Amino acid sequence: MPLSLTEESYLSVSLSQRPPCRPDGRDQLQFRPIDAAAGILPTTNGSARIRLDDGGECIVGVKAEVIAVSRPDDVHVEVDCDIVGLLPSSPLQNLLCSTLETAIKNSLPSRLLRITTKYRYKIFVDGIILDHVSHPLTLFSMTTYLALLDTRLPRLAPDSIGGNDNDKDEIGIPQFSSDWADSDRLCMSWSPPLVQLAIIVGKNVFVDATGEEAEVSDGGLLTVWHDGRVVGLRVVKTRDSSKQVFSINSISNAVEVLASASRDIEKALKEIRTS
Amino acid sequence: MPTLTVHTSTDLFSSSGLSHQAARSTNEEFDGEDVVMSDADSAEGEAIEDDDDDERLFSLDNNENGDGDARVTGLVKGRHIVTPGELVTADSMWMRGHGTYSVGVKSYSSVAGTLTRVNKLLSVAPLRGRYDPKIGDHVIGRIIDVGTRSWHVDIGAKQAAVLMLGSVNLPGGVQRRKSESDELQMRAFLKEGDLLNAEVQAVFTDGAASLHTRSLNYGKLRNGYFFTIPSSLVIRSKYHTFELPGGVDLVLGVNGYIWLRKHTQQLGEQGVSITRLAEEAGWEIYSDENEYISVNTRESIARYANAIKALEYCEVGVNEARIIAAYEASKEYKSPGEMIENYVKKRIVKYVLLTTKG
Repeated sequence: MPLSLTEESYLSVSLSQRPPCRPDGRDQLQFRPIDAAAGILPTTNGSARIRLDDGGECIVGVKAEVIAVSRPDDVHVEVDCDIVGLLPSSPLQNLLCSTLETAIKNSLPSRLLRITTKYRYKIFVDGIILDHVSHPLTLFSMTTYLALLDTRLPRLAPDSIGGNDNDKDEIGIPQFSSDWADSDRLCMSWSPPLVQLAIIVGKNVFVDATGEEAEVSDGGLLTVWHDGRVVGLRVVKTRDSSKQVFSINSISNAVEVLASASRDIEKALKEIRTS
Repeated sequence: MPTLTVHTSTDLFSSSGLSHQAARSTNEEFDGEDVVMSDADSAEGEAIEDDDDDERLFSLDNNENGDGDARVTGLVKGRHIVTPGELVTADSMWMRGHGTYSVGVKSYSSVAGTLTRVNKLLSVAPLRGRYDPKIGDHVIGRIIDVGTRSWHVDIGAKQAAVLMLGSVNLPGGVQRRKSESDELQMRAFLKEGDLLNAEVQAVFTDGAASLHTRSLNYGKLRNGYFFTIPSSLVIRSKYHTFELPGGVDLVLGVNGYIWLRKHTQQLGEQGVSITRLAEEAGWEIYSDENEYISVNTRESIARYANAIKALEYCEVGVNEARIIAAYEASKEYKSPGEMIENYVKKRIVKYVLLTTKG
């Protein structure tokens, strides 16, 4: 739904003035409350659901599959997501999947997925965005993060493991412990990447932008946060006429803002998982 | 697992037709959270009885004791809530109104809402759903299409409303005749995306509305911020345009569309005589330029918007007194941004209900 000219000018002046005044009065760094739950899908290895204040909702399930190491395709993570109301392979869906897939692939060490010398896990991250009013990237990334935190991979059954490592490697098909509690968390030594999106309006940067805020923005910037630092960034189109080029200043400003937001979000999501 | 928010659970419950039991349990959750569910005067607490279902329903049908009628009245007064598919009555003496369907002589509810009775007519008013236009309603709409001699306007109803070229004030005044050139430059008056407030002039048999803006209270909107709440939460009153403290004007559309703007003297308030009004109305009524709006006003607008969203979150009906009370209560918080937290919303609404009841 297009905004009227007067609405658009009201919003863009509000957001670009200094100090800015968001239509809901939030700080530039303030998120709206979210409703999050982990471990909601019993048939997955890990799952999560996040609902936003504006009605946006996302569910992510993580499944692990055992594949032979010798298989030619090197991919060990596959991310897929459906956006309700959009056709498959829409630009938005491609953005979401490719960003998350690249981020996870680059940060996940393959040794974590190793089972035996012949077999390893392949991780499938499948999400569905049931509704979105604002840009779904942050929503999808947070839900994926929580689902990965929740992910448990089964251990090998004790009797299928021989006396030493050599025996273990020679087993044909790995036998897993039938006890579901006998499993390892995927995120013991690894912390999943977190992708956050900010919009840029004039000289100001905002996180967790509502749909209407994005509608008057110059453009967006996403950052990939992993291990306490920003490891990647990308300019994102937030509306049809959005700019693709920004000054160094606004980009470094946005990166700074996103880094601090990501740190807080990561902490909050970890608390949800442990509670 | 975190608790369900009131908003979402109601949505789930009306759209997907969860079982009655599930709906009941969400209702109980509201009670636990100490949040008032709908806009009723006082007796909401009793609205959801925990009696056995069958007993309750049969009491509605049962005329054996001769006081069946009285019982129904009592139930309806107590805000009887029904869910889709629930048996409303098995007695053929009742006439079936909106929100019901029948199988044989039995009547069932087709929506989730409150059962209301007018004489022998039983109907169910939905808790959620699209706006149902009525003649005389003050609504806000957005132009979605410019057609021949008319605009199509989204007012949140089942169908787009129609605004005829003959039903708007054109620059130059009331007496002006509409010419062909007006038809050609309709986009110069109102174009796609434009917001306007209008009155429902007529409702067609299919439920579509026809609007008019033939008064200087109505017309294109500027200098402000637009958002929506469910239309079922707007309490109808004599006026729907208010001047609020803090230099903000509010247009509370009956359809749940809301416009908050900087307070400006409207043309009608400038002491011009009615006859001259016609000539006064120039092109500025279709202006797309905002006036200068100060930071304080913008902050007040954000505060009012959050106050109304807090009322919405707690499913409390919205009227002028409550909005002002919520605004005053929110001043406890220095930044309007603090009001987006759910516990703050609940606190504010609790205060509003305490202060505006008496």
